[in-house]
Amino acid sequence: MSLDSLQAPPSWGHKTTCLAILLLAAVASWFWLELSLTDVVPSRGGWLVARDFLSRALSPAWKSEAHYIPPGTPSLPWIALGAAAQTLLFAAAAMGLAIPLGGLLGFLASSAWWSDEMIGRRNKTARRFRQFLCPIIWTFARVQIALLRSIHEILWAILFLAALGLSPMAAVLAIALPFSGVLAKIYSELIDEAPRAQAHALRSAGASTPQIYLFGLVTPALPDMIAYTFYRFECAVRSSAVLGFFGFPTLGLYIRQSSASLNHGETWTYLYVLIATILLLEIWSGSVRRRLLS
Amino acid sequence: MIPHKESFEYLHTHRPRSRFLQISLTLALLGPAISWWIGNFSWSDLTHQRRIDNLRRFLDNIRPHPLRHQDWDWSIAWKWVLDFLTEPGLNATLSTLAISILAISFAALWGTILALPAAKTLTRASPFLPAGGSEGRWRHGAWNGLYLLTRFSLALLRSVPEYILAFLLLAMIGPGAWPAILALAIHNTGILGRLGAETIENLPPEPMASLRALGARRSTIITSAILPPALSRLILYFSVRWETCVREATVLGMLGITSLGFWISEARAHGQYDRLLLLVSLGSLLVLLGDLVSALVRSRMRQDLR
Amino acid sequence: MHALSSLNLAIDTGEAVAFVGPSGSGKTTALKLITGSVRPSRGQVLLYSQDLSSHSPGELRRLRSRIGFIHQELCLLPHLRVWQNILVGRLGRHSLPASIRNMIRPPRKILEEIHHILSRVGIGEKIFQRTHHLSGGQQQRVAIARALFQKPRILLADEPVASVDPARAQNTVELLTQISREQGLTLCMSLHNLDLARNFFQRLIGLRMGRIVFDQPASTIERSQWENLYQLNSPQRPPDVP
Repeated sequence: MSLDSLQAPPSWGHKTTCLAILLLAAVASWFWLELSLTDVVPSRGGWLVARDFLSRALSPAWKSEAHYIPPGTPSLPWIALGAAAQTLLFAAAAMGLAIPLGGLLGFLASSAWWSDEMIGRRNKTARRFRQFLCPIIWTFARVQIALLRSIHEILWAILFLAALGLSPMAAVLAIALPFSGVLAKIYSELIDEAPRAQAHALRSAGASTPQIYLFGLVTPALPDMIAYTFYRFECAVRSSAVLGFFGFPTLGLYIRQSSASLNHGETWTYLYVLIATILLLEIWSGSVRRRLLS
Repeated sequence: MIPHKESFEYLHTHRPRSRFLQISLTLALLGPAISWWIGNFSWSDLTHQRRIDNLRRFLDNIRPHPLRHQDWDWSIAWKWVLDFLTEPGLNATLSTLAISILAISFAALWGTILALPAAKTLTRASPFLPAGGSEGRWRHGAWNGLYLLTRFSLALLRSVPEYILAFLLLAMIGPGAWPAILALAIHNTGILGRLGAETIENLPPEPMASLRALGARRSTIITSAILPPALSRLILYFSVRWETCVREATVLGMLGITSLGFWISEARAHGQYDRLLLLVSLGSLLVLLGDLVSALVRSRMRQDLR
Repeated sequence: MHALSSLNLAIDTGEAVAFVGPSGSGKTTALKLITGSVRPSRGQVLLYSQDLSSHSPGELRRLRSRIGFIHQELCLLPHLRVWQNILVGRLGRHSLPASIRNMIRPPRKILEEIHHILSRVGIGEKIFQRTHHLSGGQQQRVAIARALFQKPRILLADEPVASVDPARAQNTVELLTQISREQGLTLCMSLHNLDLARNFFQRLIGLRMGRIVFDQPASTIERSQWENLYQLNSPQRPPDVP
């Protein structure tokens, strides 16, 4: 007891309140959803499915388990690797759109570029610009980010599928739009939090405004921005895999197909390829981040 | 002639370079370009006649159902929205929220518990003390094994996307809210466990070391010197992950679980794009609301951390 | 509120001047007036007998690119290499694309020039290091090298030796005065330390609450004048009384 009171930090209050609210909300949610623990236990049929599925965990298929295999089909590992490559391709293509868009929106949504010290109050036009145009641009960027971010990539995908039909571009745009919103949000926070000192140094050395923006505002935040972008690429790969469930040729498509035809061995093969891809990416992006920030 | 150790020649040829970083960054820059080149993506696909017809049909269908064959009337549109909210809309929104809250509660509990053995500073034969010689080698091995095992299981838990987990769980436990809750809880346990472990590892070690030197047990250290100071940051992470839980819970319904997503896939299947759009906006509103709450919690926690 | 009032002084080319006075006396503002980053609400600043306020922003930038400013808090980017931080000094003279290219793949000639300047300030071997791996004293030398890389005609240093141990303070001030003498630069520095100011500068300007208290050759400064400047009879004594 005495140890507890000694070690407790002064502001225990917020934390207990937060946890208490979470607990209350959880209880309320439990009753709202009319949950019961017996429902977690699978039914008899569920047990059979679970047993069949789980029993193949340690023996994933090396050959296709389908009854009819069209001639000329590559062997299963090749299909799985091809699907993984497609997954990466969709993710990379989407990031190729999301990074420039997110960068632009993120910069406009930061408060650094139109702060007093950056634009100054040199003359009337600068003051006008600062008073009217800058807040409009800033608000526009913020609203844009919130809209892009608040819709899940799968919902974007559904909207694009409905509007365009099954096109690879639908998946790319579906990932790119929400991801550009998330990137923009984080970029703007990083730019605002980065030290502003370099910008002052640049200003007094006679750099132009674009140079001050690029080297004084963006460059200090760049290591963190790159690190976060790598993390988002990981997320993009996950999303790209999931979008396969909606008919795009990524790993999700194969997982859904083999699972629907109860070829559990195949499902595990695809799952393992997915897990391995994601773990490898995590290791890669983790070590890039460590080196960048060291 | 061998250049002098401080000459420019010597420094230039021996300048520190991280090949790994150079290759990684080049790959990161070239990757998207390559994927656009070898992948099947092109902007011209969007201007194809078939796509444009499709788009026109979609835009026609967006118009609220009762207004499809008459002029725009706000009162009818408003009534349509209200009818929709009372029938599935509000219920589904609340269910989505409930699923996300339960999922983050489970994930918070298990993530915190699993963060302890995943923290390198704690999972050692003699935590927070200079390595002593009294313990046997096998005890070191056992603790190290526990650490590696937890870290690896956490990585496994978070490596399968929520949607795929829910899909697999649905086949086993059948329809209802549980597959969604469990899928979200499992994935987020993996993430929160790792974040929690890193938080614990980054705590200043002095209080723990002094407690240990006084002979305190591991459990005492955990409850008195680890969890209290780590809690602010943990709650901060909970709220960040809860945001994504809300987003995901919306979508998981598409697998036939009673959240917004269920009605979204219904509307999609029946080609009711007016309802689809309304449901998506409802989901987007919910996410924005979640962001707001979580931003509030985070600002409080940041105050504590300062 | 005026940071400075009735400040009337002329500094000759090649002169080495120290601004002294307690914190908040307007030393920093005086230096910033010279670069034009602070504008006087009344009166004018003449640089090379031209009114600063008559310059267009472009001309002002061109002028600034020849003024080396050493900031008190150094203003270096910790994650960049030393040469990149120094290159920043000359960005004002490059176009935007050229400055991006130089930051990523600098021409060898520029690197050699940076190495030459770094050797002059005594840390030539650090050129390819990451800046945050350097000690505080070395980082300060990087900041000095950045100012020198601008090929300045005027060198301004804002309290370069505040919160620095005495040995390093002496070294820094000596280095700066020596280099300005060698290259014929005008040097203006704000300082707290009477001994350093007297040893290395010909002319001292005492500022107090935005007004000039004295402006005379360093050799003629009396200790009483100094005590008067810092009001050493008042209870709040500055920490670094010589």
